Amino acid sequence: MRGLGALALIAALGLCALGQVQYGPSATPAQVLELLEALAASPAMKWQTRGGLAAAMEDGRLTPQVAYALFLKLQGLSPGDQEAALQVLIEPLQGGYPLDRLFNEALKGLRLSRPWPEVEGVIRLRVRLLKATGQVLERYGLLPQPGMRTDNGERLVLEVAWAVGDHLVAGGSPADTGGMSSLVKTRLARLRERVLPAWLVDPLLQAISPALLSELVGLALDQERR
Amino acid sequence: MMWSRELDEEIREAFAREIEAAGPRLEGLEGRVMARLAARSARPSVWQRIKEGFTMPRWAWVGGVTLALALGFLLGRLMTPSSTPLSAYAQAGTLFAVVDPEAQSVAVVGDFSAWQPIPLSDPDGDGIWTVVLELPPGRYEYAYVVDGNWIGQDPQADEYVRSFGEYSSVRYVGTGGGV
Repeated sequence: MRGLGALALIAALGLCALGQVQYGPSATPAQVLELLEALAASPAMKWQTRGGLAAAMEDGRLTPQVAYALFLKLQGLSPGDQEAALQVLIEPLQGGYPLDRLFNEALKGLRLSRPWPEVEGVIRLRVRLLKATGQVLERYGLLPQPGMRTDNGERLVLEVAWAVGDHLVAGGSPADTGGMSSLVKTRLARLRERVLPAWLVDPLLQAISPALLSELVGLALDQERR
Repeated sequence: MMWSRELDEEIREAFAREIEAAGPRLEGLEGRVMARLAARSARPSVWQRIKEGFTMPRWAWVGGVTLALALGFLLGRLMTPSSTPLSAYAQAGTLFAVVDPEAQSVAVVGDFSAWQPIPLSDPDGDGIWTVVLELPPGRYEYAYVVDGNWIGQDPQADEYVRSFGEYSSVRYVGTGGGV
């Protein structure tokens, strides 16, 4: 019987192992900058974007492959939308945020053939949430070194901001801080020890509360209104 | 003692009357019983049937049971969200799988590929489309595209998110590439 079990497992694993691939288009920073130059935007806008883009790819906040995919997609937008796209990307490019997640969100929207203004609205909200999350966590002493973020600290800010954003983007109420709190805690618990160290996550899991999230969302939406 | 003898006589007479009355029904009883017994012995017992089953060639048993177990195992894993997905057994990486015998093309898109399609394959045509990706530890959003249609809710996902009017699946990959 043991022999049969082993044969069954081998057969199942054989089926699973089908089609292993190396994936994703590769690109260099130079290729990304070439695509930027080809966009129908004002020279001033391109110049502002170029600096932030080159720096983000150089310091590892943005993978050239992801940037290339997005700038390739942007080529297909109307000239007005291309200019608007650069406008919304300048702040996160210059703000020191991790950018792959944000660029991927835009790519997802475009993959789903959503009009650029809808994609832009989501990106704008995500950027506000990133900014507000960083400010609130720093104020509560939940980041490792206030003012001098480490990679883990950046990742923590990103994950909290993303969870709150997922709640709002899916149509959740900003007032439902209980539901938001539960979502953030579940997500952090799943990331704990996988990609985020326990020493960083545990204090936040203790501190996360509807009140803290209410403050965070209020700050983000207030920035949005301005 | 007199009473007992009279009673015995009464009982004997009663039996005699009963036998006489049942006479026509008892006629040919032995023959009928033997016929039924013969009919029963013509049909093999359950145990006999099991024993006969084991006389099948060994390769047929091993092949049949292995195939059934493998398919049952795989389909069960694909259909049921589980804390130990099949990908955990595939040391090579994270398994993405779709069961759709009617599909002409299946791909996975996600933030691990800048939402560019990665094709799934079904070389034996059994309707089970798979690809194994080597993903570093992290949280990954993805969806399947089956014949051009977005399929955002994978039963193997850890959670779902909804944006741009569509669901996407999320997997958390741990150290070593497995979920």
